[in-house]
Amino acid sequence: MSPHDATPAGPGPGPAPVAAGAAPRFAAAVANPKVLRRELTLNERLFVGPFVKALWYTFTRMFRKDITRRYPEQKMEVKPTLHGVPVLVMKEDGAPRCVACGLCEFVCPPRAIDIQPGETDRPIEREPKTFVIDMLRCIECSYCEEVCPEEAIVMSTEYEVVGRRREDFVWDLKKLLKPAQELAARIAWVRKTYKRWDAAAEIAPPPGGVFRDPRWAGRERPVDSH
Amino acid sequence: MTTLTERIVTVADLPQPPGEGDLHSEPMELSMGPQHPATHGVLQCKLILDGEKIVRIDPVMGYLHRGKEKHAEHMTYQQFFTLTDRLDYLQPLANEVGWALTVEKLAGIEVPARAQAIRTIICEFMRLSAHLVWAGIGGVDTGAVSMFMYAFRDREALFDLLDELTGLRTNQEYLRIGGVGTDLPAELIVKMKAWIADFPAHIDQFELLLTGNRIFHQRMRGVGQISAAQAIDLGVTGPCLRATGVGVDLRRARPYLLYPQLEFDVPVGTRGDAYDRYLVRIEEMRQSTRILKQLLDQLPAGDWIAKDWKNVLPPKGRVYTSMEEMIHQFKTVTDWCPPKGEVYQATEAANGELGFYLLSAGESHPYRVKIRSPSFINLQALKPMAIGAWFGDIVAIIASLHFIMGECDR
Amino acid sequence: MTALGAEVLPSTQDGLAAFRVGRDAWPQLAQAMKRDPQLAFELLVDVAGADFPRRRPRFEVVYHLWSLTFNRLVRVKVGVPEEDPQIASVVELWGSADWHERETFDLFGIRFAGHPDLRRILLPDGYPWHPLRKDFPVEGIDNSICYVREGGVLMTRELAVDRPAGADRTPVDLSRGDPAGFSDGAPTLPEEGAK
Ligand code: SF4
Ligand code: SF4
Repeated sequence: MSPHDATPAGPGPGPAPVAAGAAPRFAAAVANPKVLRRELTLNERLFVGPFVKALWYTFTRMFRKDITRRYPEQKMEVKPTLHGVPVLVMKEDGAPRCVACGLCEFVCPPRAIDIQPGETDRPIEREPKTFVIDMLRCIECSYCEEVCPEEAIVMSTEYEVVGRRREDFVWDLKKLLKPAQELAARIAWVRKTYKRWDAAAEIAPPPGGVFRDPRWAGRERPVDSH
Repeated sequence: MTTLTERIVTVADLPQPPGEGDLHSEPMELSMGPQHPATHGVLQCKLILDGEKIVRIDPVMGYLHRGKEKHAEHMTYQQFFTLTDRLDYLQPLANEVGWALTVEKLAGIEVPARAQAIRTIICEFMRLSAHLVWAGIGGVDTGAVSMFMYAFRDREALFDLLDELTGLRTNQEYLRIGGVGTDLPAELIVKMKAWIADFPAHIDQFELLLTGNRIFHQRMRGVGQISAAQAIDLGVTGPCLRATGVGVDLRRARPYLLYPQLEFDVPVGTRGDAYDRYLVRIEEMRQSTRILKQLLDQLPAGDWIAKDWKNVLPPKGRVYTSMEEMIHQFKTVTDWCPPKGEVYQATEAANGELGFYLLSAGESHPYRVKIRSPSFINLQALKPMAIGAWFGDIVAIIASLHFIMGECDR
Repeated sequence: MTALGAEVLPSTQDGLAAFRVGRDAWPQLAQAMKRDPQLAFELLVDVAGADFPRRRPRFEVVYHLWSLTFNRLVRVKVGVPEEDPQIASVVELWGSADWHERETFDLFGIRFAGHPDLRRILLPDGYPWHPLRKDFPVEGIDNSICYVREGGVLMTRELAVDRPAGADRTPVDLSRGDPAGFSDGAPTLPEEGAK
């Protein structure tokens, strides 16, 4: 194969390959409109006219509605799509929904999450012993929320994270846990969005805040199918 | 043993100044940056001046080097999106689109039409965003300070729209392999249309402030001129190349996304000076609004992420309730391995050809990623543009070239 | 191009025409690709290095060239052995190769013979390693050293950084650089790219 019969890169209507030899240089340029490059008019060269016009333009802006916000007093309108800092969802009994599977820890690009798993005697026997998010590292990408198989970590609407020392930004379970009602809007959004193409995958509200396969209903723990 | 000493251009290297009695001054070494407001980020230019003329320029970069290419080798494909965001931070989503297309080409993923349309929309919004910043900063650099306010007014409104779509104002992390993060809701389309309906009038206002302004003319015309042959030799792409009269645009030359089906012109300049680069970018903003109008009017219905069980996370509802999908979810997140191979995929970013060269060894992370960043290559043109120019022009030249150091240094 | 010693590579996912060429045949091929009106690759899009520690030759320099006349993109790969990491520069043909090659030198330690000004571009001058090589750990080596210029000579200086004792590090072959002999303020730096 010689490069002459190499396929032109990419499909579709590019500039058609030109016959070799007679190729006009940069044939691609032919069909492009030239930008208008005009000389200044006399008025513009005298400068005063356009100067006054521009000043007038700026002057008229003074009477428009403000587009800026007086920030600390006037807060941003919070929508469910907003990515605030990630927080953990609390079950009714005050424990986190999280089962310390570590998926969010794995996916977090800046490695902001640190989980130490632990065991309990409750039906769902795994829970995080410690769960720490370093808010200085977190880039609020929402990947953790997207991958969590338990709907246990969601983006809150809190976007003002302040502190005096670095340690203030390392949030532990106590700071991270938020009751589910507070996060209802975002949880609803997560359910709606991450259905993806599958509208049928309707999620029933979890009994007791725990998701279970309906086939397991009534059983404390799943029966091993083997 | 070789010693690695830096070759510093010093005054002694230069030809001796003309003889006595001549009014020429001695050559002077001047360091501009890395914290100069006009160098747009952390670029240092070592200049050697003969009086007011620049005789040598040596851009020094790397102050913002974060080793993204090295990091990419240790991240999953999805995680690397967060780093591409921070390449050209004026158009984070356009970088993400470039990476998404690269990975999808490697893995052979079909992206549904709606997702493609949304991607095209955000690409064009990003072009507008980058050009708006350019217009604002370029205005400031040439003395038109109020231009900054008007450009940023529109950019803020634009970011409000993207905020509503993605949840973040900048560095959005919105793209997913196989599609996008969320759907584009109908009420947002209405808002976007309203913004676009207003925007051409705003471009006219920019032109009122700049195009016919005599000071602006004098700062930009004939400044930093390069010829088409020179630009091609230096690998310059994007608006800077088109300003020299070469109508090469990857949206046409190597089409991707929905661009083949869209109607738009690729404006070119005539002389290749700073003023042409300004005009080309202004015209590109108009063309972008034209593209956006077409897309928003006939946004295809359908899925916004590929229905691809092997490559995309399964629907959440199933993950909650079925063990198979749960395993699937874990597998996709932690061990998604595209096939072995290599791909070069380029997109037309606001500054030129943004290419990703990806080598995959069939693992869950790339083997090698090379980012062909347009700013880095275009910055080479600074030398021919600046040498022989007046010292005062360097600011206008840098402004018209418009490079982003986050992308240069990677 | 096959006439000039290029071997056609199987096409990959992006369907580009790809060629591999020996290090010695490359300058001639490059010459032809640029100058031959039948080929007319005016624009050097990209130069990328790649490191395959278990392959011989270990390094590969990948060029992407674009012919605007024919709107054709090709990939050319040139192998570079580890013992003598050197390849002919193409700055004469494509001006854009200048920084591309400096970058590849910087990050891989591949030298480009005939380059007018081959020095580091992204990393500080005098940095002793080439970090995109596979044996360089992602967390870096010796962050405690900074480079200062004293009297025109590059020197290193230890920063007083408290690193926890026994902090985990990927084991790395340090014979490539010599951090120990480096901190005594000796003005010479470890040999570039030397094993
Ligand atoms: S939002 Fe992103 S960065 Fe923050 S904790 Fe979650 S995954 Fe990590
Ligand atoms: S992904 Fe969810 S369940 Fe798993 S550790 Fe993170 S928060 Fe807990």
